[in-house]
Amino acid sequence: MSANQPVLEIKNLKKYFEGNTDIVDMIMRREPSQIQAVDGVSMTLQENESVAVIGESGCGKSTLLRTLIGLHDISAGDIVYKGTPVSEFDKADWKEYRRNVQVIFQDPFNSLNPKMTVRESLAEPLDIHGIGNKEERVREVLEQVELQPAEKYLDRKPTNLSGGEKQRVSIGRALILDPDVILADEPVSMLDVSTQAAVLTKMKELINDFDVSMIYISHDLSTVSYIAETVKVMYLGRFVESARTKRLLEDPKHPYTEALVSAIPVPDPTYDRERTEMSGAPRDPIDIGEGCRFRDRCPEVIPPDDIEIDQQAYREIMSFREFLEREEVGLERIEKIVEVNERSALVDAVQREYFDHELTGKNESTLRSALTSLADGNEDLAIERLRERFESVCETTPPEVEAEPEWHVACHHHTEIDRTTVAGGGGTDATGDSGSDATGSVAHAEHQ
Amino acid sequence: MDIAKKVSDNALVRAISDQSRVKNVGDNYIVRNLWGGIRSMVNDRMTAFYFGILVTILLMGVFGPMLAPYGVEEIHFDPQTGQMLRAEPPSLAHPLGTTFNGYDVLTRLLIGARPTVLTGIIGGGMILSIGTAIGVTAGYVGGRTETLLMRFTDFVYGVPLIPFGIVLITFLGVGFIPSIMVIGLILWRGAARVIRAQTLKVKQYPFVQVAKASGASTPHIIFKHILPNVAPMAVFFLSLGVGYAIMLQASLTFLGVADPFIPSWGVMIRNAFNSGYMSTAWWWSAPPGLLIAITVLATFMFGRGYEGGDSETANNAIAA
Amino acid sequence: MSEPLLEVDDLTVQYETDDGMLTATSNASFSISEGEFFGLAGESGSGKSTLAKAIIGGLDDNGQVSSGTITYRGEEIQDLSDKELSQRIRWKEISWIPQGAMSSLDPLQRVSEQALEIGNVHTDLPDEEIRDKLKETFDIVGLQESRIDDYPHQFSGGMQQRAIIALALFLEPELVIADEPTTALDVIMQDQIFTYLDRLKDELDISLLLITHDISVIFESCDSVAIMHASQIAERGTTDAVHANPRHPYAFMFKEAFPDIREPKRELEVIEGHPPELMGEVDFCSFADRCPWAAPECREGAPPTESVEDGDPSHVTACVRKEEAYEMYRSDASPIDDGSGAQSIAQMGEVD
Repeated sequence: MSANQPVLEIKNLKKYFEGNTDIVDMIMRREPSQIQAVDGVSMTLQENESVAVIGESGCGKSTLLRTLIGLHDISAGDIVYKGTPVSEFDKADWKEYRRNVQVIFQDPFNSLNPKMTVRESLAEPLDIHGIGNKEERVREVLEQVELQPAEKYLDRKPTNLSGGEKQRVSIGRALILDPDVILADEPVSMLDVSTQAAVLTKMKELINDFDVSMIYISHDLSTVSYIAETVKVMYLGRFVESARTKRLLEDPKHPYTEALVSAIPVPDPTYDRERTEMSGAPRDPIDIGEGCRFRDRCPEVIPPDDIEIDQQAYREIMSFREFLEREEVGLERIEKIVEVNERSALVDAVQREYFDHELTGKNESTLRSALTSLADGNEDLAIERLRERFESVCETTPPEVEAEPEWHVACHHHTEIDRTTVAGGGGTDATGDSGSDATGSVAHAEHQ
Repeated sequence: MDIAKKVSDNALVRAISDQSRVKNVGDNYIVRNLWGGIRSMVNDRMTAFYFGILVTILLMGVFGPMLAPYGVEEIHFDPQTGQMLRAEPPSLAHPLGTTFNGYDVLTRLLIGARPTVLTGIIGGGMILSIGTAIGVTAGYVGGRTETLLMRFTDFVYGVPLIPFGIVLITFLGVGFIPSIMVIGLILWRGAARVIRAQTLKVKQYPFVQVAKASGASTPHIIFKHILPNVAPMAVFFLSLGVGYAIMLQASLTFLGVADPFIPSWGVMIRNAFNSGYMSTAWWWSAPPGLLIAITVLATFMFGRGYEGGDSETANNAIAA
Repeated sequence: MSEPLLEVDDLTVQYETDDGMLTATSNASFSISEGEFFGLAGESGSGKSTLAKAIIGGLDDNGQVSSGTITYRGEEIQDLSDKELSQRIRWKEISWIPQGAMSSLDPLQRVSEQALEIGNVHTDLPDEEIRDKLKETFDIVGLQESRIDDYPHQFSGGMQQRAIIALALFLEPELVIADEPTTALDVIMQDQIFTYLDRLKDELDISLLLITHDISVIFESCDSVAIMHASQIAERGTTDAVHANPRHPYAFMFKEAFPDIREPKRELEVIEGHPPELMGEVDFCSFADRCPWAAPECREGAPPTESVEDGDPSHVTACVRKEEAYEMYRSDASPIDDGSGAQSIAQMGEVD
């Protein structure tokens, strides 16, 4: 497979958006905050291959797709189409690319112009690319997406089509130019189940018939196996795991994938599935710096080797420090509630609010001393104290390693590097400027 | 895209007996959408009623001068006394009475329909075309172009209409056309803003993104996707514009910006006012006033009907 | 089984439209007992949301209960006035989490203010007591009591959802109606919400009417289920029984349309067409036009609701061909499904 030239190659692609800046920011010449929607994604798409990208809403999967079809500029990295990088495209190359890379969007209700008939919608791409024989092609495609007889549908407007029929027209429109690649953004998620299966299987079939490659984007792992052989799991702008679909579903390796797979409801009252233990939601990808993106929710975040601590208690300390670093600890609010104007009362109150799990020994005393510094108003010292004892290897970006053949995971649990050296060395630069260190290790992993 | 064109399309479609040609014209994407819009609108009884009024007024504009019983500047005298009929109340010979100058009111009303309708169409058309062009360009192109166009729109918002009118006629001279220009060159601002907002919304729809992704040119997207979907809003502004133009011209006439010798309905009211017979000779001032009110009301209601009737189908699709 | 908490009997709800009376639910019957989680499943257009709205008197202006009764704790409530419902039933007895609510707290009001607003409309309790009740509920859903005075934006996404559940529950209703509470949420979020709902069942012994298109969620979380198609309840019973022995063609086809992550390659069932819009009296099986096994008698009268006789007395179905259809389905399914379909049916047999 590797001998063939891939249809599409995505190389360390990044898409950042600038956050909102107000006039004060402009006067102060502050750097605008960066929304790191897609943050270093690499993949290749071979001929006739279907790859699924799975992730929760806000993980950047739709931004990835929009960047791939050229609706967003690229912030860094490149997309290579049949050997030519997009960055070197001239006008003709773009036209060629747009003809061969087609897209199907999620929302069938707005995917078709309400003013245009089915015939006009389907013929539009042919018009754009100046291809004749329109009527024949349109009828042919309608037949292929099983909207028969064609006469019944040709002159209808979208209002007179059901959701499933609309989505079939969208699929037909994507196929009518005989493209190389189809990018599909949750094409069935808004359909009723009764039609979902039909649309999915039809898509799969057509993709095989037409020799098309596909990137299929979805939040729904349960239907992915019907459409793609390979799946990539995305979390906050990065791929955390990629593998063959069936194997990944059976034995997910990354803690996030595990949580994702285990949270899928099973339609069987006799099957006793455990509810997820994960709490919270992904944070906003604004200036999130380096490190494993999942560490704030990870049930298996790695404590330093030399301390002994309960996982949940450790997570609380980690997220508390994160709150401190992001200046999100509601100290003033707690101060108001406490009433008694005493430092130890405040320390107790903060601990009650942010920590549910018991700590013992040195862990406890470190936390207390950090909280005391916080109560004194010295946030930096509090952060420093906590970091010194509790810094995790997960605060450096995990490299993507091949855990098994065709199975890549980006998690320190699967990294074969000496943890102590990284943890020790990361002591001072883990807050945000560890970028060079972390990207270095990613690059290293890619060379492997 | 203005009413005249729509109606002529409509008439054209009806007039041509050759079936195949009807089919061809009706199949044209833009014609079909306008035609479909009007059809769905006329299904609503109230809108059909207002549509009827508009058509009547339009017909008055076309055929009015032919129907006028007397000449427009024909001064009438009492056959017995030979005295000029100054502001005579309605009689059989003069169903709406006469003016202070001895003109027949009905005649002036019928002849005045044409400049009034023209004012509405040209004024409304200017508001629509400038507003849509600026709104769609700003909304779709975005970036620096948008900033520039919208700042310009804001600037025009700051221009007071009446003083601007006075300044403009010092360059263009008093006249019928300049009075319409004053209206058209200022009042597009509201349309531009709203149509820009609408364009921003439509631009986000997946069907626009798909077209863009498959390589459609900007003009293609604007004409095939953006315009048909902002059309209901544009038609609403057209009707607002027609109403405003007729009303404002009446006000401008008061200021002496408009030509007093082209007897539009606004001019008639002004003449009645200037003569000092405004309240005594009600038959002189009330009919043009009423007709202006009815025309403006009918265009407003018709525009609302178009917006409602048409966007219903579109919005259903979006809400479903 | 204990005394039913809510009983819906032969309920028909219709909407007045320009084209006549649109029937949204037709002769629907089911009951929910104390502490029971009851799932109402169906595609869009099945009438399931209408049923929920009818229970709390929240039908749109053009909607009306045409016949049948809704009995809450022995009292018929379908004819109560809006005022009576507000004062006696809504929130105190039956609370409602409307569709899309999971992301819709008023951003300009503290959570406690929103609770006070609800409390003052539906109870005579003093403000202090309402606040105490909210604090208790916050504790149950795993939020700090001290945070009731926070604004919604001070909560993370998951916490907001817990706050919404708390708002639905703080007046200690007996029954909560949740209309698609997790639709449009990611699976992990969905699972978190059901974790809290499970906990409420254990700690407060509330009943839940869960309305969703996702039968997997119902099979996992509910005790009983009713499957609706275009105004009619096709099949109803305990989730175990309906899962193991579905008899109505819509029930087993609908069930088989859902993917199961344990069998990633199983062929998914496809139901052609979509639920029809029904005008006037529905005196036929509304699934007949989509049913591969429809016979003339399916269109000759509304199918009677009959027991499936599989040991679960509550398990009933409304199909005149319930045995034949299922037999045919099983014999059809096995050769095409290259074994996996047959296998899953075999598994179901074992389960029973």
